Amino acid sequence: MSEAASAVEMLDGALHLHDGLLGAGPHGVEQGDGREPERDGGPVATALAGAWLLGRAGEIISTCGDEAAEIWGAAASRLVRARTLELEDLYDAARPPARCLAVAEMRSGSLLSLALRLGELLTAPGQEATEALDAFGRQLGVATEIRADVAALHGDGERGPKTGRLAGGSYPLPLLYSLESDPELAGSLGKPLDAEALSAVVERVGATGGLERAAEECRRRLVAAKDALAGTEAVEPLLEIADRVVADREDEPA
Amino acid sequence: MNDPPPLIDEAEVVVVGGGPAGSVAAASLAELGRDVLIADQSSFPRDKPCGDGLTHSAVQVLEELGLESIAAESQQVEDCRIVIAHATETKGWYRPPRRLPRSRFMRTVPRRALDLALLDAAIERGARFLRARVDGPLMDDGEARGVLLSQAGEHYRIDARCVIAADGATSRMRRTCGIGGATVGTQVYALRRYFTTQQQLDPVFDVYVPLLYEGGLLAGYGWVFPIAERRANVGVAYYGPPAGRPRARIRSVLSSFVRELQEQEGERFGQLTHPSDLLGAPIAVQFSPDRCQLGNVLFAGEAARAADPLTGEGISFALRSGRTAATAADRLLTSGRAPDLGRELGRQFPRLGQNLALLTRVAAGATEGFRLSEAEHQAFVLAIRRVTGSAPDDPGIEPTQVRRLLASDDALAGALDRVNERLLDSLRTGLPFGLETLHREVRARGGPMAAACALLATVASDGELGEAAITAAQAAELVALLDRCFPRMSARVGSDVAWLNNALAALLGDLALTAALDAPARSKARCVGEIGAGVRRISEGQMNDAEDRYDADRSLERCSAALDARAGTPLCLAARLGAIAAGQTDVEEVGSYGRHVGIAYQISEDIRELTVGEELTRRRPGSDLREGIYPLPVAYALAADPELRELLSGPVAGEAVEGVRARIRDSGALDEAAADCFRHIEHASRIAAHAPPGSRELLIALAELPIRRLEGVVGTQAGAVATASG
Repeated sequence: MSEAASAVEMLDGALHLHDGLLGAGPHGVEQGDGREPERDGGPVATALAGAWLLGRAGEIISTCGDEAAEIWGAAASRLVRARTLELEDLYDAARPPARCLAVAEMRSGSLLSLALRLGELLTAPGQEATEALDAFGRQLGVATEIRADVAALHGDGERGPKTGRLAGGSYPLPLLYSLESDPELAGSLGKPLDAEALSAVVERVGATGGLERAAEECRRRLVAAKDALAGTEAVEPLLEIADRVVADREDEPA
Repeated sequence: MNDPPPLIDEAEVVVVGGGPAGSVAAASLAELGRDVLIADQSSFPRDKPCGDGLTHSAVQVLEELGLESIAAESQQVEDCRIVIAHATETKGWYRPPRRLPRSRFMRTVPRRALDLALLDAAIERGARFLRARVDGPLMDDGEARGVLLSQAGEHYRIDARCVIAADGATSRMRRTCGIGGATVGTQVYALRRYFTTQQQLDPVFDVYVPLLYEGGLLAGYGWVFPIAERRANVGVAYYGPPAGRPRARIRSVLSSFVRELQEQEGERFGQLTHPSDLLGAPIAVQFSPDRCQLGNVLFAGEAARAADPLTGEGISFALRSGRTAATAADRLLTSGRAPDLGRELGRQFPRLGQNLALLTRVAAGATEGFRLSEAEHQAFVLAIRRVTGSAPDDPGIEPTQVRRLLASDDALAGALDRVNERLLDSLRTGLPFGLETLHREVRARGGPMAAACALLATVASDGELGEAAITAAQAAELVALLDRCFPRMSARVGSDVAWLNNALAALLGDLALTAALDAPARSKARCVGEIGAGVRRISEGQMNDAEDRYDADRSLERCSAALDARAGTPLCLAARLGAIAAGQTDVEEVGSYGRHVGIAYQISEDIRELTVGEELTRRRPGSDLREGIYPLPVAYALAADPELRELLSGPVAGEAVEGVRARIRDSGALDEAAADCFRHIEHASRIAAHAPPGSRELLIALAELPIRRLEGVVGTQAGAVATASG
């Protein structure tokens, strides 16, 4: 079991390293809170470290049997496909919210689903909770991503909003919702923004209801995640995890 | 189904649209003996804005269809001139390669003439033509029973068992079938008009990239095609800006381009007068394999959004996709099952479906204007070279050494082709140049070595070339690609071009690797474990190389260890996966065979890097030296020449690189490296000698491929061994 958990964490770590290379576009790294690859020994070393982790994770998951290796390999493929879609959409103010949600499900949803399915497979073979756990993981993954996007644009009061991804052209769900109600906002996007322009965009997202709509979608996904577990035994810890991961904060739209 | 309108005609296949894709589809079906009817609302001849240029690929299709007379009567294009950055940077001339027969040179044919000739050819072959507007398919229980059409205000129907929709970029069939979807990705707009001049025009296709407009640069290009001795098609095409940004007025862009031609190229083109009417249109470049078909309704040409997303070229895609749709329709009529047309088109055209809007958006971000980056310049020049014939856009692997080697065995050759098709499927993304780049690597350096090694290992292990063998070979080739992706990365960051290059290299490497891990396999856990271990070793070898950059004191032992890990591992893994697919448990010896072949192959490549020019390696000579990577031949030279050590302890640039290359060649290091290469070949051949007859000879031939690549490259000892082995 610990091998499978390690393989999932290493897969996530490997792709996080490569996310550092993708950053949030060329300008997100300079202006925002993206990881700067040079600090880690340059982009080549970062890429190779990620590949090494992926390889090692493959070696480890192979000790868990054919089925575990199969679902791990399929999830790894989906995680990378999600990143290709994310890169394709950089600086695209016409990005449909549905595509943003699909990417979140392929990325965070696939990762959580993988962890849950491996846990079920290796600890309780024969149980028929696979579909429920898969759906729970996918919905919770989407909720987690939306929550992070809302929190980043809302800020924590002291440090203000985190705008690194936005600066680099990665447009999150709250912004895409705001674009639907405020199409003229698109005129400010599609290009790198300086700090002043970023603040203006963030303010407009707040004023046009993008954060509230995203928070509503987050809640909907959370309910769907919990509903997926209905009828499944021994799910209290999972429900608790869901509540903690997407815990509401008083100062944020909820 | 509601009461359908009255029947006006029936056919086995209705082709909607009488343009190039529709006419070729109809002609092909008529030749196959099918009853086919073309329906188009236009009367012919009629004009279209783009497509006067016929690429060598388009000319080739016409020839294959027996329609070479259309091209023969047109204006031949002898050459192509690319003017980059308005003559401030480079003027490039790209002559068609010598191996290309003159009959396949580019041509220019006005669309009025081309479309009429193609339609006539279809009718001559037995297709029928009906002038009517097709409103959509006649659907019944999810299947098309024909089409609905309007004629003189009345509604009718045509019954058919299959429908080919070839009704262009603004396809009504696409909309009515509900597979149009939102228009996302690259937007390309084109506008042209004809001009007359007193000057005799050169038979040259002129391209100006990017477009200069109101003091800024637009991501697009202008062209001048000679369509007669004193008449030219002058036009512009550009990628649409991101949503929310005002589109440049395309008429003004064309006027600006013509003014620039008059001011700067007056001697070349003379006074451009008597302009024809303007003709413009969007170009449909948002190809997706999933959106080329709705049951028995098959899409072709721009209705399938099959136009080049970089150049906007659509005629060759129209002709080829029309023919492919006809083949698919024929199969459907014969078997009753609809083939996967989108997948077939996707395999034929790796360029299609790429979202180049990302490049334009990044470029826009870099320059605070809507401008073209250096990366786009280079990509565009390569695309033009392809269009003019010097770099055929054929994803087939037939011309590669590896495929030729297996050609004597039909089963192995067929299996390798199937692996190639799977690779094209598994690597498809919308990332700019992603599939093309990766698949070019599959074809480079002799061809799909890892896949061939895996298949041969399966056969040598008494396995069958079934599904397990194919997926093992596919996974092996995908892992081998990993070794080609990361070395493409730039050590420097900071510019948008370097960032995009690195992002794409990392993501494409991950894509190849995870596709390998996701490939269905016999003994899944074992295969994932093998792939994981292989990837870890490859990464360690590359890390070793990266750590030793510019280290002139790098030891031979360390160099050999990195060579083993980086180059030996991919083919070792391939052979092991092939044997596992055959049900073998002991795969050590076959793995050792692969390892020796991989190392020998890499040494031969390293020697070529130091000896031959760009025309053979497709790389800038001395690239490794410039980047501080010192492979085995350089390590031998460093051991023998202390002065060279001093030279290579830091970056080498400019003309000094050629001096260093010459010094390495003179040091005798190449012969030492070649001797190592041949030792590995001998090891591999000794292992292969234990294989069953049939696979034995091919395993030995694969091991000896490096010798072929060194023939005529190295002199003394290596040449002697090569001759002896040959």
